[in-house]
Amino acid sequence: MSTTAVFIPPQIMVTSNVEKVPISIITHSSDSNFIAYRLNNKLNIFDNKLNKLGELESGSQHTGIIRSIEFTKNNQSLITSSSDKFLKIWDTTNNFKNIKSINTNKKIICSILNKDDSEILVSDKCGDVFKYSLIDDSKNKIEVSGDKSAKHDEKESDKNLVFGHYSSIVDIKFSPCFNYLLSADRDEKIRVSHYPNCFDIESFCLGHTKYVTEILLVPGRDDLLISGSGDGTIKLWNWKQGKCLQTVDFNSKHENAITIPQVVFKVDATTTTNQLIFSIENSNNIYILPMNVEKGEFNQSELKTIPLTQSSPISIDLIDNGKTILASLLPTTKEVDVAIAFDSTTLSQQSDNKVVIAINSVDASTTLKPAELKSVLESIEKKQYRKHVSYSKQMMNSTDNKNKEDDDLSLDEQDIDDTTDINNNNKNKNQETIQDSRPLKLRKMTIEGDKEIQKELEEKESKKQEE
Amino acid sequence: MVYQKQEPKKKKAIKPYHRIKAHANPASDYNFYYPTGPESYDWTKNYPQQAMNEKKVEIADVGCGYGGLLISLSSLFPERLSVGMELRDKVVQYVEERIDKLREKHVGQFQNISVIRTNAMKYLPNYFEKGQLQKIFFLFPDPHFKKATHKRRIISPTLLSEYAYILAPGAYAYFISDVEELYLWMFEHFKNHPLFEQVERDIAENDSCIPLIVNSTEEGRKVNRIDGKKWFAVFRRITDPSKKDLTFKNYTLTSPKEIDSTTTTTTSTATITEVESK
Repeated sequence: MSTTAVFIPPQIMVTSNVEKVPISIITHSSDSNFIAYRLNNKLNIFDNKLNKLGELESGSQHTGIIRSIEFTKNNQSLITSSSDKFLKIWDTTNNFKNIKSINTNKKIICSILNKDDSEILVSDKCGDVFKYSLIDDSKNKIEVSGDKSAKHDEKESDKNLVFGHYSSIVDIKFSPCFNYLLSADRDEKIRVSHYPNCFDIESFCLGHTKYVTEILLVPGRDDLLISGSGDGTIKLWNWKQGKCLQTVDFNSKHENAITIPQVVFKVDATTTTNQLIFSIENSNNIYILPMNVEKGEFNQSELKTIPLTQSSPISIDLIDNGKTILASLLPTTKEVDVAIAFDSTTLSQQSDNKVVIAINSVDASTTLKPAELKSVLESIEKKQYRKHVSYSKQMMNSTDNKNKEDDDLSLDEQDIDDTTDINNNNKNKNQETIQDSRPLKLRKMTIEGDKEIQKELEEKESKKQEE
Repeated sequence: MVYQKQEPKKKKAIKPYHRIKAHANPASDYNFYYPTGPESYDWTKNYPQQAMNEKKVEIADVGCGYGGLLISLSSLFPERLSVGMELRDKVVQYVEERIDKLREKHVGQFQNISVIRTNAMKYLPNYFEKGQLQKIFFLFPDPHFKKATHKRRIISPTLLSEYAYILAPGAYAYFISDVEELYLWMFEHFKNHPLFEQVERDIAENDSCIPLIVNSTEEGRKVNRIDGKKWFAVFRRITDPSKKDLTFKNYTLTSPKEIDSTTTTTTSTATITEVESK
């Protein structure tokens, strides 16, 4: 291909200018019969055989933002997860009827299916990952209690807990052999764990300086991993060794770039080149970076750019067996469409694409309130993964802390005297009972002492009630 | 800042010069430096007289507090490098100053210990390679009594996997607490983790680090002053969970030593002696 990359300076958009509800998480079935995407909290389906948008029952839709959409490998089901804490299974052979809903009791951030589609792994906002069976309901023991403060303890004793990071997990992927689980978090880590023995960590891919946005595995090279980050780089890894093989920096093209890898594909089976499609947030371009599969490296000099005139891409997928690039856009005016398609070989726009025409014919802007639209955009931008988003607040907090009095860590003699005085008063009041003469703090440190203290507190309360 | 060598009152030795908070939230995002990976951290800043291209840190004290254990480890393992990790910056400053003074006073000594300000719950893999550590210590960690703050505890099933990652197979993990409920929490989590098993009783009772974890820290001495009790245990990092001995009878170690009816034969002989670190 003789097309040279023409760099057009991007136009930075302000989210308040968005006129339509953007779509995202474009997913296709492996047999190319269906294309699924989310429109706020609604799952939408395009049927390639019927060449039209499917109509799903509105009563079965999620009540929160959809976090992931995934077809099973046999294409018979579609699994969605959402912030409303539910997993839903949709039957592709029966007009996408919702055949099952699983209440996980956790706000889901991302999820992935296992090898035989019998289980799904789900990560919550605290960075813990749980597994849920899509076949056997008896395995999904979910305990819901009224005590909110005991959430963490219940989560740890949850038998569904598989593993966890200490910060939010951004993306989970299985290795091609399904023996390893790759998870990326907002603290710049990409962790490689054995599967199903997730307690055994194989390696860490460390090198990004900001949160990871997405991780992709390379078809044809099982040992390679591609990651994007808020630091504006695309990195190529040997994920088993945790070694960074190559770093491509795009901060020179876009100030404070946030790179989001979208999909890796081959133009045709005869070439030894893979193509990585990625986007840079708030940049009005779709980028295509070729990769030499045999050498295992990017060809930076052959970077291609598809310029978009008025909007930036959100979610990009390959459809029509890899022939068409389908991208969702951030529409800033009413004239801008929410979807656009390009030929993956010639990179020319397909304005007559049936999927695009069908998607753009639906206008949902009037159904959303401004607050809802804002939450949609925030979920697309994944703002919760960025550190120091409210940096000024943190500075204010730090100045407030300086004014507060510091407590000395040691329990010095004066504290001991005070506590013994309290105990002496108790002895005078309750001469009949034998009191533990040790200080209150010390008694609290044993389980028996803690129980005694609770009994005393209950007695005091009963006395107050009598008075 | 002039270091006051004469201490009219012991309790005032620290407070006027280092006002220190007791708690720090490990879930917050702090603005301190941490390396992107182990290969990019410059350890020569911490150990200026050591050949850091040949040696690696082998012992980590997570939540080292005022550095009492570190100073004891310096003489117990003179050929090994130990590092303390602490989240509170004023405590780190104090320990740095303490080590610098000791290095000045005893030329050639205390070059094998250092302290780093970091959040160990998040960034241990950024400092240590896989299987680098031989010993890891969790001495008197913050109990976080409320149920809502249990997720901040230093021992959890998911964090234990990361500790197992940086510990070599066969390495030891030590923990001690003066809060029985926290000790039981840590004990259960170590026991239930597939990559950890408790060491045999005689090994634990004769381990040279046991007197240090019991008596060499300020927290440990505080418990001694108020006639308190401490609970501790030693676990070994294993590689194959299927080889874990399910018939192993776990035991509890305390200081002062508890009279256990099942081990009356060893009660009279096993005595933990106090070791003065000064």
